[in-house]
Amino acid sequence: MISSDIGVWVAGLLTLGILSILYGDSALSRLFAHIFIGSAAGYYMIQAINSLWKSGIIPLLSGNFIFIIPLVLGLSLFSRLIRGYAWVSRYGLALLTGVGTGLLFFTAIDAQLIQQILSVIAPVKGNFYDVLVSIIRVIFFIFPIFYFIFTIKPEKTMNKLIHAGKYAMMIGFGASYGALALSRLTLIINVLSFILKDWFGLGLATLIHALTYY
Amino acid sequence: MSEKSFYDKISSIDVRLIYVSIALVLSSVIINPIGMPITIGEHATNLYNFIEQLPEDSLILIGIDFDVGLYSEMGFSLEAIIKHISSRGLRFIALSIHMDGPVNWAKANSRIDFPSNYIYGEDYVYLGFIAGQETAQAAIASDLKKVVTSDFMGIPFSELPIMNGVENSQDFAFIIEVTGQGHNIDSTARQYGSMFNRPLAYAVAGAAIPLAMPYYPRLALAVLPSIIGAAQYEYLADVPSSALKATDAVSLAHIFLFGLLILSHIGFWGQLSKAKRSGGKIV
Amino acid sequence: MTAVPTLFKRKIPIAMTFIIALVVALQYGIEHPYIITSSNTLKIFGVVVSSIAIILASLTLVISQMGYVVKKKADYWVGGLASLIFFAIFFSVGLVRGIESVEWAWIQKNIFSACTTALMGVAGFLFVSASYRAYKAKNIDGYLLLASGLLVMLSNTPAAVVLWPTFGPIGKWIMSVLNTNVQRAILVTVALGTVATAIRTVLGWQRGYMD
Repeated sequence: MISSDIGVWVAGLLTLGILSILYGDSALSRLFAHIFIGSAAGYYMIQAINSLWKSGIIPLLSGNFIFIIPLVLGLSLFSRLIRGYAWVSRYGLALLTGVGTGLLFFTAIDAQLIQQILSVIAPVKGNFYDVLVSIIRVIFFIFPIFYFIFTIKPEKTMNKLIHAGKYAMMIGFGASYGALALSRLTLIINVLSFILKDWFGLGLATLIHALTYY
Repeated sequence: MSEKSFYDKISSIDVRLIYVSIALVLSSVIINPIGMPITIGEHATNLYNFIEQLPEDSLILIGIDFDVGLYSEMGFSLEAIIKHISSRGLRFIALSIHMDGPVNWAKANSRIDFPSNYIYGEDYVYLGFIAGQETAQAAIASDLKKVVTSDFMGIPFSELPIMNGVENSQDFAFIIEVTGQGHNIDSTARQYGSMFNRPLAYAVAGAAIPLAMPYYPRLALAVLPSIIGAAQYEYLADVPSSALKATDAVSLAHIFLFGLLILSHIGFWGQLSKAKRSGGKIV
Repeated sequence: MTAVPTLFKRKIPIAMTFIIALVVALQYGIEHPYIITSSNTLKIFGVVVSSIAIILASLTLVISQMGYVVKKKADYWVGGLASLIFFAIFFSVGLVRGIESVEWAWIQKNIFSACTTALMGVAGFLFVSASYRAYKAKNIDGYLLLASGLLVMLSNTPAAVVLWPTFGPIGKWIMSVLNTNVQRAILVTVALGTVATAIRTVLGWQRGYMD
């Protein structure tokens, strides 16, 4: 049964408007794209204001006056909109950059370097197949790294290793493409499901009913 | 002007025809699912078994950090996991460092039938969106109550019994990150996994599977892959829902894309060999 | 107007970045209460400043859309006006009624969520057409990419796995052994680059973030 909810109809019409981009670029498709831009800007601003209220304003109003510091630093970011005073925003950016880089230093070395190396050089045990898989694992880890070494002039052997690394990466990226296909195809299913089921209420019972009615 | 050869024709199909074809093909199984069997993967099994063996008073942190447009990929995983957690009587705190998190929570919350004895504020709570990405995760992991003082509706923690005694990430038995973004995967591994050694699991979009897999098994005990993982988890947790119904459409979509790729390559290789024979080039 | 000294424009922000990064990084290894308290406080400050940064980003977007309307650029000013109207709807409902209200839930679900889902659907369709039009294997790199891609796709196809069960293990092996270790290699090189860039930023040798 086709939906009688006005919200679903609004959503459906917006969906069709945005899908019209597929037919070709037109004033209509651009209009709907701009509707999305405006909605997103409004939505994100309200969510950010809410986050600011909970994390910054409420503690300040509760007597935690140290929160004046981040509020002032945050307001300094707005100086980017004033010609000649954009340098004031560097104070707010210094806080964001300092915290961001501080968080990365040791955790990146642990999670993205040490743990990864330990995963690759895990002890080899088991049958011949397990040993073979371990060797392949090491090969597919080391060869792509050669591809990213730009400080050594590539000569005969180095060139072969770089090519081997490139082929290993192509196999890896092909697998990533396969995983990406799963993602993108699911998005199509998502939008079609909304149109067919939520909006037009199509399901086998409805279809049979419509056929027998006519 | 020379007539187009067979290879030229199959290499130059109008893309709008392709859009209509795939829409029609998928519509048929979306309206009438066939019910093809699925295979259960190790990641869904690992996650299910881990949650099954958690003690009854366990508290779980769920990060809802994906675009609302990707709901079909990760939203169904989120629903299945929450249904499993609630059926076991485990408690969870959900929050978002992605701005679309509140929309996804609203959608999941409206689709989940919580058990009658599973009460908001006592057994589960949603804290809303917290800005800052990795900074927010680090702040929450270190001292949650200093970052946020109320849930997403503004109810203060003093009125939410579940928040009693929750200080930082050490109070969580387990952290599940539901995300489609590589930087969220990395930041979760860094801030919860590396910094505080908390057990982690991911439910990720298809495109993010390769980005999360390096953390398995040392930092993450499972990487639930997109809608396929959601379907597997629904089956294991015995909560059949949208993901299981969509597997037919997923199959057909892949077969369509597979066929399209083969077709485009037949056309391309045909044009290549024709050009080689005539000594020309394909432009 | 007298020029602002370089001390305030450059040196103090760089010094701030250095000290903040040091305090936050030290928490990883030093469990002294002062370090932990300072580090946690700085992280919370970061959350507050980040939310203001998002407000600034949204405001900048709105200002650019207003520019289209005011300058009456052909084709864009109607779109600019539409985006401003919808921005105003979301902003006023969110501010006046609050995000816990029924009205906010309605516009969030039926406008924002619908638009985002549709846009993602467009991305899905475009992926299919791009795969058809642009993805052509011409050399060994392309053949390797195509072969592994097709095998992984077949392992993600429940129907194919039912038809020939070996598709499943093959695809999963490619993902878990080959692809994962390639991604590990990339992750390691990226981590080295990230740490190097972080050190350069903190020491003031790389000041791109200040522009």
